[in-house]
Amino acid sequence: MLEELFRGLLQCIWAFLGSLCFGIVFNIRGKNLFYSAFGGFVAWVAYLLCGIVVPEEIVQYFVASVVISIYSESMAVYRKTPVTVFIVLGMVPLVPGGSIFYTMQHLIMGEYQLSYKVGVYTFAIAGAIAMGILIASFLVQLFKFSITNINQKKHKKEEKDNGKAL
Amino acid sequence: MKLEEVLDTAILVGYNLLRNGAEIYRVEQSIVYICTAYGMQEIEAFAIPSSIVVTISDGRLSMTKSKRVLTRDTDLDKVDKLTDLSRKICRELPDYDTFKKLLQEILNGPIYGKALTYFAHAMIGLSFTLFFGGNYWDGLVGGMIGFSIALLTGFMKRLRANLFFNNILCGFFSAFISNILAIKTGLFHADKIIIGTIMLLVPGLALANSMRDFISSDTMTGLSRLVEALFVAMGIAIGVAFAMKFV
Repeated sequence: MLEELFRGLLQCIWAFLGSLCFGIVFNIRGKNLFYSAFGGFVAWVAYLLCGIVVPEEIVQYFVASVVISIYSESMAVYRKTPVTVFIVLGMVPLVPGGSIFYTMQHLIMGEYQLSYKVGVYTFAIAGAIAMGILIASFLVQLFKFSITNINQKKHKKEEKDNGKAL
Repeated sequence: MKLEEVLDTAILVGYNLLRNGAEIYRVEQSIVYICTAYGMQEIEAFAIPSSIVVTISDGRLSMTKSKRVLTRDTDLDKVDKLTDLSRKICRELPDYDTFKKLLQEILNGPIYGKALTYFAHAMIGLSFTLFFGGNYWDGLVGGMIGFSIALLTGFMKRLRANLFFNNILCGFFSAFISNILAIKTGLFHADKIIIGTIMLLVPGLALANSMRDFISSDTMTGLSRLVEALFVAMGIAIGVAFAMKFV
């Protein structure tokens, strides 16, 4: 148990380090570099934590991509920076490089059945990640919309009240 | 500001945003906001990854300008600063010369040095080899391959080779070296090293951006970026496949 925890933590740290270096390649500077690289860490923590509850890779990828999208959107508001900066680095550890590679390896070895199996699985993972981004972005947009709407209504009501007072 | 100066301002901001890897809706929105701030009516902004077209009118005359975007790279710091600039323009309405000075300042902004970039490539190779479950020896080889990929990409850029060929070459190189090492010494796991180093080439940004373009219903852009990402993936796959057949 303890050993597993240690291994998971180490993996998260490697994800963080990889994201950080990608941030340098993409020329992200200052505090934003740290915050966006931390997204990679958050993504993998979400992935592993979800694995404890639902040990199924596709669900894990979906949850992780929802978490990272929400993290990025809120960071974008907090740091007043475009969302892309955070979302790009957060998504880096979620790229299913392993299964893409194994699909190809089986294909080259002539194991078509296996290759097909892994390939469809990879496609499902990619779809899960895409769905995660879609749903999270929609939720955030809904949230923003409702906040501005409420504010506007409040504003209008106040104006009305002021008008009555006058 | 005159009509043509407003048009120039808007399109320069949009062009530089797009060049440095911003999303399409941000480009179009910035253009519309800037033109609106200067009191223009009838603003039509249309952007796809390879070109921008803007038409504005001041109620009497109208004017169109289009701009091709030929080279693109990813410089997210500039995207951040340009977004700030477009907010500033909307707030303060500077004149044309001031704008030009501000823009030039951003475009000459700092980038990380060459040594640090190469080091970052090596660290990416190392981190992701370990991340995908290689041991420390694998990590070391992954780091070295990452460094070589950086050198190779730099060299190919100087030759003006196209991206597709570059990906084939880098994929081939990564798979070739790690396979040979794994077979000759038996100390390394070739698959882990290949997966880790390929992360350097995988089009993560293009894929994430294309999804976000689909959400904001820029289907054209989404499709073009998706196809771009698929082509990159195909290039890598061809390179790796060659190497694995070879060894």
